[in-house]
Amino acid sequence: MSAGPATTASAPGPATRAAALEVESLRVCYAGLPAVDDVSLRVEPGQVAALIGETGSGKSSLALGVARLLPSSAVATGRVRIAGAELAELPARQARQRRAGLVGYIAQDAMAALNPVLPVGQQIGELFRVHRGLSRGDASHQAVQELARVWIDRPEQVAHAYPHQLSGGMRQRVMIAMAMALSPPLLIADEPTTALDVSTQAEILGLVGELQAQTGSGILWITHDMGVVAELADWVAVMYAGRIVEQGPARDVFEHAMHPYTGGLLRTRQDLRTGRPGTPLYQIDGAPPALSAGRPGCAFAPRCLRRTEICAERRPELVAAGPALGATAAQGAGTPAAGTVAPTPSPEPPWLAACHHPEVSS
Amino acid sequence: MTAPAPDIKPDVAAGPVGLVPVLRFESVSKYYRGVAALDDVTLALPRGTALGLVGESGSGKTTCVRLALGLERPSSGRLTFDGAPYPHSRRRLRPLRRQVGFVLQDPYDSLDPRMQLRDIVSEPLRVHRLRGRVNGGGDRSRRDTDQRVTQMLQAVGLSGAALDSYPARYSGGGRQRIAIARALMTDPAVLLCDEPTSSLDVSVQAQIVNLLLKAKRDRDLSLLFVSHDLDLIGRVADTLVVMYRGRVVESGPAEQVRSRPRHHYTKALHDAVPADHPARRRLAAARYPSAGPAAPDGPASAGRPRADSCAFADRCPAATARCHAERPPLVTEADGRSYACFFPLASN
Repeated sequence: MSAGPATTASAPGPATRAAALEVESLRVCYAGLPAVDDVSLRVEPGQVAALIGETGSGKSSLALGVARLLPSSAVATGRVRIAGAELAELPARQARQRRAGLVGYIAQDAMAALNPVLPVGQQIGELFRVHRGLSRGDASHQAVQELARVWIDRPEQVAHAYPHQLSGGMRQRVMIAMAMALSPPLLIADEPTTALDVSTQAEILGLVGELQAQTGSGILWITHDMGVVAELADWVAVMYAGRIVEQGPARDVFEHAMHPYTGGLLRTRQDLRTGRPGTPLYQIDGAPPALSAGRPGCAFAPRCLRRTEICAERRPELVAAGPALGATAAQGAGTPAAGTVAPTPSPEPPWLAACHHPEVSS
Repeated sequence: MTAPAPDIKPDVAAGPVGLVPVLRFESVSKYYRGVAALDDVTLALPRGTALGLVGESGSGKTTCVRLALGLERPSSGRLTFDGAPYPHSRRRLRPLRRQVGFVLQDPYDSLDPRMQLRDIVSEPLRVHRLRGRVNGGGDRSRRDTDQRVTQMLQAVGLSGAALDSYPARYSGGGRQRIAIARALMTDPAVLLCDEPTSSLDVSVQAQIVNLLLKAKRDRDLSLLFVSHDLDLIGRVADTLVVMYRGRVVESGPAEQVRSRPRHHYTKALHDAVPADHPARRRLAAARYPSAGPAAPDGPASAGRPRADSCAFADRCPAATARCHAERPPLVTEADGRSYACFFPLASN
């Protein structure tokens, strides 16, 4: 924690080629039980990486671990670099100061995340006063501009409004304005559209797409909705029971999921859209497992239609599995952990799956 | 069932009673403090079918559910059950309530955490005195009840469940199964489902929907299914009713409404659904038509249309002066589709 904070903190700014986010073998435990188990992930600048998972899959713990916002009861190990900087290596106070410039956080519940007794313009302005040293007047002027940037009509008026006076979609836009105000290299969006109506969600997705094209931030977008992933993501990582079971370019994964769980989620979605009304829906049986320690085998095995004996005995490693990656697959199979992203020299990181019986492309 | 049927329509498979919708809203309006939550809504749920109510927050879907449950009375208009109007007195509502089960959105909210499974599922029997005399039953009655609860839990896919367990032991999907078991206990004719899967995990949603569809088939249930999810509801319902700001703007056979909307709001709803593949993105590419000037004075006052205009006029790409000055009536065409629009989208 306290080892050489000054040197690690003076990391290169967002202008250099450092990844927006590099997570290496991250583990987050609550009371000894791993909520996030050996996760490695990389988000490039200008990329949207979607992290998809269900309740208890560990996706939110991963997000909090990245932003160093975990509760004190959680124990995190592994490395997290945001634009080259390691927040976890800094003392708490310094980390707080650095965080605002490094990572913007958009929470699901804007009402809970915003200060209820301050006008929203003032909340945005405060960021500029504290972190950019702007005067009160300049900061409030800047706040109005930030509100306009997130497509808010009459931003001067809205700046004076309190959070409860705004609709859910408006509050979410205020949150986005705050998260992006200091142009951080990384944006974490934790299910920001889940509580919204579809048309409001559509606006938010369109807005984020546009803002990202302007700023070039890397985005880690957490969701349980494959539709949102299809709409936004360049890269997709699927989490199940604390581990990433598949990750790869969004187009490839949607075209041909390797892991049966990913395939099941996609098929569920497809069936909703194209199945005949009134006929039974495609369903994945069973329920996601509860947190537990030292489970052998694949966590999805009890629900999996492709399971064999080995699935219950040995945990499948996350290895290169894409159809055109025969050579890398052989090489990847030998590596012990999930951290196979780093050593690959190719510009396109490999498509990985943790399955003994991955679906093979036809 | 063997009542004389003077008119001999061979196409009505459900028999003479099939002609009368099991649940009907007739020009129902409901005002809260002068604001119309429901504005002249007419709906019919034919027996053995699923009616889907779809709309966004503030559309009036949940108000419909509350009225159908008898929790509230309409400000004007009336509801009927099997052709008879809903009674006014609470006491006389009770037999009707037995016929109307419900499954609500949040299974964490709707089950009492201090009650055992046995008591949760058998509660409707006690409320409706279907278990014999409250005190006169004794051990025998308790055994009978336990047996019925066990059978019902089996029917909803919880065969291993211990009767003395508490809801906390179950995940969201498990709890929703418990809620369904409770709802089916009185053998209702209608099941009201208010966003029954929206708080569940994706991989569990389909299980719960399938359970509801199975109950519909096996028990000749009629479903009133409320959701904001056009894909889901179009998949479950036979008939779709699209609501917007307290009004019905379109209705018709689910598949047609979903694939060929006539009302511009239905189309907007359809267009807002995210893509199914990254190669077919649409939302991030084009700015979606805004919900109108976002007034800082909050959604409550901003949400209601004027009585003399179309509910969707201020967001509609096809709106003209007429749409702002006159309320379009809900017209029904020969193909059974209805819409409230002066300038409907083409039907093909």
